[in-house]
Formats: sequence, structure tokens, C-alpha cells
Amino acid sequence: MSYLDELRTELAKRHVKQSVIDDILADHEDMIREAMNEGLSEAELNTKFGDPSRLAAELANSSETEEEAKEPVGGSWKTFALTSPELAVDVRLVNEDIAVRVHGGDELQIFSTASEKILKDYECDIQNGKLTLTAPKFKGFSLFGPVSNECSFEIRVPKRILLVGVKIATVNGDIVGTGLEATQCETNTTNGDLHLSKGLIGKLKVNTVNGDVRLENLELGSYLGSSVAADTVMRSIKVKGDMILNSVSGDADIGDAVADYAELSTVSGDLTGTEFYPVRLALKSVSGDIRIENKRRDAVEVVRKSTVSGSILIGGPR
Amino acid sequence: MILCYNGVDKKGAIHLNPQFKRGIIELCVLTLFLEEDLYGYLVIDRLSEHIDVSDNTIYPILRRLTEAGCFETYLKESSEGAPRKYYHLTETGRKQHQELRDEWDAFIGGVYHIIHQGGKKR
Repeated sequence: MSYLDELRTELAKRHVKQSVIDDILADHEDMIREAMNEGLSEAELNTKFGDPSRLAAELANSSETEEEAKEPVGGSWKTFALTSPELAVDVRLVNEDIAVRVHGGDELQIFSTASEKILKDYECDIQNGKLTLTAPKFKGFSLFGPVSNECSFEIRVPKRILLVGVKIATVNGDIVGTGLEATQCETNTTNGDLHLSKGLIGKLKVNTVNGDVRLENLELGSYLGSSVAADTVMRSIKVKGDMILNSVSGDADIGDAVADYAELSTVSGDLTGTEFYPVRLALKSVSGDIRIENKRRDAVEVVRKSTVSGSILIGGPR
Repeated sequence: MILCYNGVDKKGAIHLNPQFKRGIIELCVLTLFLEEDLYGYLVIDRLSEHIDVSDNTIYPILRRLTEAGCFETYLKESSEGAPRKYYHLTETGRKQHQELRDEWDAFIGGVYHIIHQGGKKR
């Protein structure tokens, strides 16, 4: 793949806005032409412009990404005054997107793009220190399939509140969590994407079938990720304990991460790690390729590695 | 790079060390433009002689500084064919340079003060 194509893929993977991607690529097309006029080869481009995935990661950090919304989505729906400093959250949705963010205010606010008429079928309340938000379908089993509501919800939690247990489940809806401070968090989705950023979470558990997972700037106690066909991207992740990642055919791309112990298993998905420093590392693959590139080569103790027909490469950039 | 994780605060501002480095590269980028306007590749080419780009990509910094109003861009015909996008340092950019330069001088002055305290180099 050419440098430009790779850069485009890497930027898209990080949900950078299309207009921004176009702009960045136009600049690079010009600069690469200049570089080639100077006699550089395609293979030497990395030495001037940096590795495409690293470049894309830095650009994504400072550029507007698509799911980043400063204003809450939709209109205000409900507000709750909170008496306890702790709150549990249980969200069960189908096609609806859900975002959980923190804000400086005192009350818990819920916004939605749906109309009042649709919203009245949703269950939403705080009882015994637990917020529940449930889509109509989950009240009973329906032979005719779920009532599909293509809308979004946004929960804004006051900064002072410690989330003690967050459970979010969707079928097709995307899940976004920003700035969360939680003792435990578990997300389940079939086709929805998950994007968690800037958070401090004790135990994080992520289950996904087809939806892609993107985790960035997180400090975690432990991580347990399981994916069938979904791709996982991790950037700037610090795990105090174990980082366990299981994938069937999804790829995983881990950059700038530390953990005490990491165990990565894949059937046919490829795993890439850059500046990935678990103290101990176990790798397992059936046919997927695993590649770890670290500057400090001997900082990771590989306690186990096995593959049937894939390749496992652990090395430095040069 | 991994040392930066010592600087994690509760809100997840993990990149203490990279931020510091980014500031230095910002200073380098801005300095190049004090005397002349340059096009993107020239900036990268000049800095990559001294800075390891596998660790510090330069374009994102140029881009962010442009978004912050430190540069204006214009197209100029070149002898090699396609017009080039030139970057011109604005007043905001000059101020930003001055601030970073002052910070750098104060920092490096402090460091020298400390490491010279023993008198001789050991």
C-alpha cells in the first residue's frame, strides 16, 4: 500500500472527519511529490514524514473527529438531582446511539433526539442509586422484532459523581464514553461501535461482535476485551493489572500502552503493537499475524507465544 | 516515551512528557519562519535532519499551529511545476514564538544552573 493510501486508511480508522482527511492528504500529496523530486523513494518516506499510523494518531488527537460533539445531542429530556456521590448506570438499547459524558453541573441530565411521543415508551429513572434507561423492546419479547428507533441519547453526569458500575448494551447503536470515572464498566454491542476516551475505569469489560472498538487516553485497572469480527484500536492506554484481548477475525492495533500482564489471542485477525510495554506478554494466534514493534526491545518479557500458521514478530523499528 | 506515564493525573492527562517535547518542536518549527516563508516539505526536511521523526511527527504540529492562527498559507508557482503551499508567520505566530522561546531560555537556564552547581563536570 502506498504511503498516502495507508495514511488515508489510518485516519479513517480514527474517525477523523472526511473534510479534514481530504485536506491532510492534499498536503501530503504535495509534500511527497517534493520528496520524490529530491530523490526519495516510497520506502524512505517514513524517515521524513514518520510512520503513517503514528502520524494519523497524532493528527486524530488534535483534529475534530466525527463523533466528537461539544453540544449535547438533541433536546433536554430529563434531569435528576443526585443525593448520593455514587451512581450505577444500566442502559439497554437497540438501535439508539448512546453517549455518556461528564459535565461541571450539579444535576444529571439526559438529552435525546427522539420526540416526546417516542420517549414515553422508554423506561428512565433513578432508583436505589441506579440510573436505568431501557428501550421499549426489552420490556417483553416480541415476535415481530424490535421497534426500531433511530435516535440518540446523551447522558451528562456531574463530574463529582463516581460511577460505581456502568453497564451499557445496544444491538446496533454506537456507544461513546468520554471523561468517565468509574469503578466498573461493561459494554455489550452487536453491530454498534464503541469509543471510550479520557477516562479512569477500574474494571473495563468490552464485548462486541461486529462493532469496532476504539479506546484512547484511558487509565484502567484491568481490561477484558472480546470481539468476533470487530477491529480494536487502542492508543495511550495504561492498565495497572491484566489486559486480556480475544478476537476471532477482528484486527487489533495497540499503540502507546502499558500493562502488568497482557494476553492477546486471535484466530485469524492480525495484531499490531507499537510502543506496547506490558511487563509480561502472552501471544496466541491460529492464522493471524502478530507484530510488536518497540524501541526498547527487551522491556517486555514474552512468557508465551504460539501460532499455527501466522507469523509472530517482535522487534524494533530499525 | 514510557516515562511519561509517571505524570498521569486523575483526569487522564497522560502526556506530560510528550507535551513538553511537542513544545520544543513547536519552538523549532516557529523559529524556521522568522526570516522567510517556507513550504511544507522544506520544514519537514530541515527539521528531520535533527529530530527523529519516528518519534515526533512534524506535520501535525505545523497543522495545529496553522489552525491556531500562527501561520497564513498562500500558493506560489514553482519552477518544478505544481504551485507550492507556503506558510507565512503571522503576528500571533511571532508572539507564540517569543513565549516559547522565553520559556525555553528560562528552563534551560535553570537546568544549567543546577547541573553546574557542583562546579566541574563530573
